[in-house]
Order: sequence, then structure tokens, then C-alpha cells
Amino acid sequence: MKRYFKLYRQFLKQYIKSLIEYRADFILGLIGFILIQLTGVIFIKLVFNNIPNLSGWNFYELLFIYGFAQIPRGIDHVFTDNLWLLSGNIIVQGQFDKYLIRPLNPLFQVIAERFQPDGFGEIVIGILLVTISCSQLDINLTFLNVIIMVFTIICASFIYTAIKLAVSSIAFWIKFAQSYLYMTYQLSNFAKYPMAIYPKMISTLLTFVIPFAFTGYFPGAYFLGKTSFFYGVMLTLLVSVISIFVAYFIWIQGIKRYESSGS
Amino acid sequence: MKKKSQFKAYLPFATNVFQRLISYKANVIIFLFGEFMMLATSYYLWRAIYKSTSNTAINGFSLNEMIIYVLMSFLTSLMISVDISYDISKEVKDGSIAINLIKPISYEKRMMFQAFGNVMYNFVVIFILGFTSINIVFYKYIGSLSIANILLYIISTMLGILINFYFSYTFGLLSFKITNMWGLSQIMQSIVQLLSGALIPILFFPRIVQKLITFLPFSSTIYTPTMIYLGKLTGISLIKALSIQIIWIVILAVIAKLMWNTLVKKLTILGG
Amino acid sequence: MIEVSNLKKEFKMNKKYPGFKGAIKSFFSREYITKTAVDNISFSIDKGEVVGYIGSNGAGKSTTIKMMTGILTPTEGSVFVNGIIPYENRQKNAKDIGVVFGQKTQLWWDLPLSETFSLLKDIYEVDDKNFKDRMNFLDEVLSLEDFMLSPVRTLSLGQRMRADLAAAFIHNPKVIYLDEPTIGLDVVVKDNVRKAIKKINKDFGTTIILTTHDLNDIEELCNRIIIIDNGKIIYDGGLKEIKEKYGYMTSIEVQIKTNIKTEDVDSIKEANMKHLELKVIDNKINIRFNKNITSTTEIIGKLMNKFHVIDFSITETTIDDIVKKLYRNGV
Repeated sequence: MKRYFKLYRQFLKQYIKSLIEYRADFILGLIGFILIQLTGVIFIKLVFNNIPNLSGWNFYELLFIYGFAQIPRGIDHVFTDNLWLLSGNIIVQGQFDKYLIRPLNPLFQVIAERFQPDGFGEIVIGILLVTISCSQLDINLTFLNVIIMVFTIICASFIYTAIKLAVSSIAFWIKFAQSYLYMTYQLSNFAKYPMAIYPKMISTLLTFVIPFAFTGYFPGAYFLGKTSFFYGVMLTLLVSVISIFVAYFIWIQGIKRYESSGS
Repeated sequence: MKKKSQFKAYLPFATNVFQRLISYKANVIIFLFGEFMMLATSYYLWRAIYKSTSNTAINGFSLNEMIIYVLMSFLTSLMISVDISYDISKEVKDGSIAINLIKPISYEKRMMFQAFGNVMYNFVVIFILGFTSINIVFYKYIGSLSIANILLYIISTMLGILINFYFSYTFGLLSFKITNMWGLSQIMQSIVQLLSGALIPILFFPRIVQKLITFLPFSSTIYTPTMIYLGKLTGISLIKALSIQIIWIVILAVIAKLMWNTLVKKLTILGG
Repeated sequence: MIEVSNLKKEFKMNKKYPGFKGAIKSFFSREYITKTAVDNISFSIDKGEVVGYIGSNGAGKSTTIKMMTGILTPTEGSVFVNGIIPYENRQKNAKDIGVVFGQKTQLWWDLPLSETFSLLKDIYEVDDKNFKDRMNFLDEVLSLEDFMLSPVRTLSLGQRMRADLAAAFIHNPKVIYLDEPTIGLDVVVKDNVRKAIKKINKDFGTTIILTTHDLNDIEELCNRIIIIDNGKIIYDGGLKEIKEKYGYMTSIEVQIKTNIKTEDVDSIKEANMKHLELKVIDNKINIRFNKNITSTTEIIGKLMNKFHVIDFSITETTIDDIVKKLYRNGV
């Protein structure tokens, strides 16, 4: 285990070195992501210019959920961006073998190979929105609350990773899975708004099948006092653990499939 | 005679892209399904928004009109999406630009035909299906269908396509100077999304901002055609909007030509 | 050190029907066709051997290598590499092997080459002294210093191949698998790569298994060759023997300044050249001969003495020819 941490640090060092070379790219990408987040916020503001609240949620409450949902999205984006390439190019171009001939867990290799700092744009905006709305909403930011917040955010990031992993692993069966990943990722957009606005079918899908609801809505709602500790924290933890297991299982099955049918 | 043979020379570029896109149809369908989910989010969101207010109309839009707006602006954005800037920057990156400049074919014309190929695909497959369904929805919601508005919409969309082409082309020419365009194109994408009416009708912006946005080319690509379809642009404002579209086509075409001339001069001097 | 016993690999593929109607039929059909890529092969390789594993495309070479490296699981049979079953203990086996995939690279694309080695050092847990010594050795034998600091994506094919070979060796594995390592390289680089492989084998006793289409690779490096065709091994033995037995026919095409007649060329035949097959078309002479009996230089010499030679080219027997011949004669 210790070896993996050391190795990850090494990989990271390398990446940051190459980042310094591509400074301009990084900054532009970062600005781009921040702008994309901002358009979402502008949308909400423009809407709230015309209505007092949305299904019982006021502007700052909505902003809180929106921002809260961005943080785990960004964290996952920073660390596991390579999964997009896995679902797209890596298996199609036969580039997966090189991971298998090294004495190192292949999933670790795939993830460690790429560090995407533009994801920080999402994290920064998320934190900003959460902070702003917290100040306007009278939320009690005790030390304990902050710890719980960080904890749920980490769980939520794992949920994102798990979903991405499970869907990209489909590439072991069908070679090109990027469009499916894109489709699934779009579902996460639903999680930025209160579940109340969606019909039962969709909220069930987002809660029990592809649990994006636990990446933003439920934990966020808990801190706003709109849902219980059980739903907001305990279930988030449970869902993240289960989804990681399920996703890793699918990944392992995928590798078995790859090993029996060649590339 | 010369025109006809010229046309023939360029046509393969269009049919090529067309064929290429058809073969990736499965992936495009899945991609569209993903986009469809975005529309679903929008739909539920707007429904909840209108439920949360006692007014039947917001900024002049009834719920039904808003839903049609969302659908139509999405369809229009697909129609005008000729991402030539990506193609151009790709060619600069992999060097094939050099070969393409040597060929006795106008680069601009070729790009236009390639774009045309893109559009043809979008038109045939997506537009016919989408447009028909939206018209059905419109009839269901509003109770009547205006042929005039539909025709005007089509004209306005074609103008929008041209605007987007020249803008995309000009933006793509930047890749002659800037090596990695990705970050910049991300920024452009988000700005365009906001200002073209794709995200939200321009009428929702504060008045001053509205005036500003209407004078930029972006709103002329998606917002103008969609509003025409909804019958919200009539009479003088209709003529004004169409004129702005035409003016922008001219401006962008001129800028494109100028940029092209300066860049090619620089390129040939440097030896590629 | 490597034991392959009764190894078999079958692939199940969906039956495909031709045409448009066929495409729909294929989508719904549950019929499979089984392709046997590797059919009951056995061989054992000792430490330090340099084995050429050859066969035409689709013969089963890559499939066998994949099973030996643990990337593919066999349908039947077994593989033991130093007592480990590669496809069951993949990571353990990986510690002691190096692989070069001819067309694909294992180097980190966007980073300078030196960083690839630094990362591999950590992955394979190579200690500092060994790392330093081996980098010096590799630099000496493959001249890596010139492009060590360049990003891998800027390297030419020849540079990249040399780097991939070095990367496969940095942890001093017991076995190195080379899958078409010289493909697409120019003559000079090919020579460098071959020399490097030879030196690695000599100095470190590394067992080397090499698949290739280039007979010259085999000539330079291997003392033993295994030929696989249609999934079955049709030859396993020394290189010398097979050359003498099957690889001796050579063709020369010579271009002469003026047009000549067959009779003119016939006159150069001496006692040991009775077997020469001659063909003359305008100003080109085509000669097929057994180079075990008559050397290439002898023939060229004689032709140059008699005629004004502008150009000539030599065609050796290809592996495909040898394989065909093997079938005709049955080994």
C-alpha cells in the first residue's frame, strides 16, 4: 500500500513538471471550466430574478446545492480523468497491454497516468458558491459540521469515480464506450437541483441505480436542514462504499474478459 | 461551365464528411441521447420554475412557449454546429495543413463544403425528425401552425449557419498562431452558450445587457431563428434581426478573408 | 526456464453474414465460429537462449506471446515461466519480464524520455546503483543520451524503438519478449538494435524470445527458431539446419546497359552452376540459384566481368517461402 502512495507521488511529480511547460494551456483550461460553471450560476440568478423560490427552495439554498455538487465532481475530474481515455482510445488502440505487463495494479496505473488540474475550476467555484450561500443562509458552520461536510464530499467523489469506472469498463466488452460514459455523465447534471422537481422515475433512477443524487442533493440538503442525517450522511457513505465495490467488480470482470478474448 | 466543374471538385469533401458521419451514427445517436437528457433536465426545471410563480408568463414566455423554446434552440444549435475550427486546428497540429495549402483548391471553399457536409448530415437525419416532432408539439400546445414562421425560421437558420461558419473559420485560423487551442475553445464555447440564447432566452437578461448581446453575432445564430419560429419577432423587429444577421455574415466573411491573407503571407514567408 | 505444454487457444467469434441483410442477421444470431489460433503447441526454452519465433501473419505468434506474458488466458494447456504461471500470477511474473510491442510503445508520451526511466525505476523497484549501471550500459549500447531529454512524442521511430528496448531491460528481467522490434526501422537502426539485443543476451544471460518477419533479424540473433503456421509448430530447431535445408534459394536481378540474349549469359555458367535458372528480358537478367552451391558474390563477379552492369538487386528466401517449402516437404 505504502508503495502505491510513493509511486503516486512520483507520477504526480512528473505530471506537474510537464504542466509547468504547458502553463498557458492549463490556465486557459482552468478559465474555461470556471466560465462554464459560471454560466450555470448566471442561469440560476436570471431565473430567480423572476420567481421567489423554486419548489420551496430559495435562491441561496439552490446555490448551495449547486455549489456543493460541483466539488466532488471536480475532485473526481482532477484525479480520474484518464478513465475517459480508457473508454475512448486506450482499448481501441490496443494501448492497454502495457499496463498488464507491469508488476503494478492496472487500475492504479490507468488512474495515476493522468492528473487533470483544470478540474480545480469546478472545485474552486463549488467552494465559492458554498461559502457565499452559507454566509447568506445562517448555516451553523461548526467544526464538526465542516468535518462532516468534507467527509460527505469525499464519499461523493468516490461515487463519481465508481460510476465512471463502471461505465468505462464496458469498453472491455465493446471496445468503444466513451459515448455511454458521456451519456451517463450528463445524468449528473440532474443532481445539481432539488429532487423534488423531477418525476418519481427519475429521482428513483438517480437515487438507487446511478446514484448521482448522493453526490450533491442529499448531503447538501442535509446541511440545509431539509433532510435527515441518515439520508444526507449515512446513506451517502453507504452508497459510496457499495458503488466502489460494484464498480471495481465490473472492472475486474472486464479485465478477465479482456484476458480471455484478446484485443 | 467553370462554376459547374468547380462545384464538382469540391463536392467530394462534402460527401466524404457525410459518409464518415453516417458510419459513426451509432455513436452520434448515443451522444444525442445524452443531449436529450440535458433537455429533460431543462424541461423539469422550467416546469418547476413556472409552478413556483403565480404568473402564467415570465418575460413574455408561457410555460408551453418556454418548452418549445428549449427544444427549438437545441435543434437550432445542432443545425448550425459546424465545428470547422476544430478541423482546422487539427490540421495545423498534424501538419496536413501544408499539403492542403498546396493543392489548387481554395481552403476557404473547401472548408465550407466540408462544413456543408456536416450540415447535410445534421439536416437529413436530425433536423427532419426533430423538426417534425417539435412542430407536432407546437401544434399541440399553441393550436395552430404558421407556415410563414416556419419558412422564415428556415431562412434565418441558414443565415445563422453562415454566421457560425465564418466565426468558426476565423476562430480556427487562430490555430495558425496558437498551438494548443483546446483551452481557448473551451472558453469560447462557454461564452457562446451564454450569449447565443442556448442557455436561456436573451429576454431574461437585464435590459442593458440585452441590448449589448443583441449586437454581438452569437445571438443571431440561435436566438434569432428560434424567436422567429415562436412568432415573437415580427414586423420591424423581424426585419431588423434578419438584417443584423446579414451584416454579421458580411463582417465575419471580410475578417476571415483578411486574416487568411495575412496568415498565408506569413506562412509562405516562414516556409510553413 | 520456459515450459509450454499442449497450449491451445480458441477464439469464439460471432458468425458474420455478408451484405446488408446479413448484417441484421448477424446482430440477432447466436451462432459462433471457433477459431483455433494456437493448436496444441509445446516447447521449452532454456536460460540464455535467443529464440526466433516466426510465422506468417495470423499464424499464432502474437497469441502465443500474449499467453506467455500473461496477457491472455489459454483455452487448454499450460505455460510456466520460471515456475510461475503467467496468466494466473500476472503481476508476480511481470517483475521479471520485459516486453517490447513493435507497433505500440510503453513509454510515457508527453514526458521527456528520462522521466520514463525514472518512473520505471520506481515501478520495478530497481536500486540506485543498478539503475545507474544499467542506464550507462544502455546508453553505450543504444546511444540514448542524444534524445534522453526530449519528450517521447517528438522521437523518431528508430529512437523510440531503441528507448522501448531499453525500457524493457532497465530492471534486468530474466526474459525479454520482442514482438516485431525492427519493423519499419531503417538499416542502420536495425543494426544497432540487433547489436544491443546480442550484447544484452551475452552480458546478462537474458533469455530472449523474438518474433519477426525479417529473416536477417533471425540470422543475426537467433541460434534456434520455432516456426508456427496455422497455430501449429512446424519446425523447432537450429537456424543453421533450416537455412541449409530450405533457405538457400536466392534470386538476383541484374540490369545491363544493352539488351542481350540468353545464350550470352549461358556462357558464364561453369561446372558448379549447372543448377542456375536463367531468364533474360530485354536488358534484365534474372538468376535463381542455390547459394549453398554458388555464392552470390561469385555470380555477381562473373556478370560484372562480362557485362556492363548498371544495377542489381538480391532477393533472399522469405520466411513465407520457407514455410511453404516446409509444407511441401513435410518436416
